[in-house]
Amino acid sequence: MVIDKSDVPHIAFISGNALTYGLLTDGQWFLDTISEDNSINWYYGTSIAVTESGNVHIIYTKNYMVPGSPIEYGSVWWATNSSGIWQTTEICPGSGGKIILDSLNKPQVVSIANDGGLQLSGFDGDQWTTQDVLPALGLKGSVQYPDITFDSEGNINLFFIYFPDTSTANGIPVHALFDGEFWVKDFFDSSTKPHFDLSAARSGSTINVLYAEWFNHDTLRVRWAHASDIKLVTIQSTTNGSNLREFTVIRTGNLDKPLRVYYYLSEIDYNWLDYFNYHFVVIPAGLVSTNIKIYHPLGRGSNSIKIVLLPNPAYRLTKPSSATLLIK
Amino acid sequence: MKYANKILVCTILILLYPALSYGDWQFHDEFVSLKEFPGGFDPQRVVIDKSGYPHFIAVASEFQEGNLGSSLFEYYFTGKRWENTFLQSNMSSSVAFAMDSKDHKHLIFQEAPFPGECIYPP
Repeated sequence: MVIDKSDVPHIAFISGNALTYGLLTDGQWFLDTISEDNSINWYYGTSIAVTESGNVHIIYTKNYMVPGSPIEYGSVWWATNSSGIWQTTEICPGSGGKIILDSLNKPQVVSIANDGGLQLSGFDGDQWTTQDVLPALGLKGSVQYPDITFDSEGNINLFFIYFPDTSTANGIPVHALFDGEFWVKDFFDSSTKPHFDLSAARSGSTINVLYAEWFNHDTLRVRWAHASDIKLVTIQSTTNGSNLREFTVIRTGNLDKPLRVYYYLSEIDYNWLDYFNYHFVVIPAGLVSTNIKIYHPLGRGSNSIKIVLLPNPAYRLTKPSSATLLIK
Repeated sequence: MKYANKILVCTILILLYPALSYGDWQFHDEFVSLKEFPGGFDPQRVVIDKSGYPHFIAVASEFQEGNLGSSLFEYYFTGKRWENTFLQSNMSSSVAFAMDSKDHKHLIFQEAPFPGECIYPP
């Protein structure tokens, strides 16, 4: 169910072997059968989104049986009335998932691949493209309960229960962020007990996720986790003294907590083993900035030092995200 | 040996990145006894109200065996702790829940076996 800007509820549900859309108008539910297919095994996994102008987007899964085989497979479909009539399109093989609309009302869909992987599909106004997300995150295994939400800057945030070992039930919650260039993963909950029933939502500048965990044999833990998404981080060079090179890392947003900012430092024309390293710096609570000080012996072979800030789910980078200082 | 150690340290750091996390997340937990709900307890999709607090519908069953229907509870966070309200018994597991711009709650559920709908203000 989704509520539109006029506070009208819209629903999508499965009734028998049919996908049905419902709209509450003047106290009466108007129901419309969108897709009916008795040749498939069953429908399931609906998710619905509505634009401000009232156009409806629905995803659903068709489950098929391989003829002469007990093997089943799924296919994720999209239904929309944006053109004035209901049209359905197959997005990709897979199942389940959730649909959301970006600022241009283009749908984004997260779903589970038939091999258990995580896939993100986007519609550019003409066609759907689907990407396999787990390899981009450096992960292998399978997922369940995928969900998707945008943050306040329009970046895609995925949440899912990740099973590194498909032979066990010990799935762990993972947050993945795509900032338009990089995918970043965040194991934000250190518990490795079995997790399930994950869902996510954005409220203002806060990302929320709710999930359950088998805490012990007779107790469940339901956990609400939330984080602010509006910390912007940038860098500038400040000092170019005789043997001191100083950079300032600056943040915006809530200053209540310290913020750890990751970067790599490269020293051009010098031994990369010594000076191409990953580091972090902590901006203390209450402060908007901190300095990275690099004391450099004169006479060494390099001629510049460059610091490149690295993305992390705890903050968003804004330009400039790198700075260079000459040494000689 | 000197460079081997540095290569090892660099490799570990590169492998750790970008899995490193500062832990900016805040957690609020609610514990549910399965002795009370031996048939299962399933939190449905989270909904955030205008104050930024979460609500969810839980489908809980007191019965481990048989098709005797489940009970619906609304769980919500008050700012200090989780509270819950009993809504209905003898429900199926099909539930949809949303909140509108006035924080009015919309709940659609399926009775066992008849469909039903309920909309109520907070």
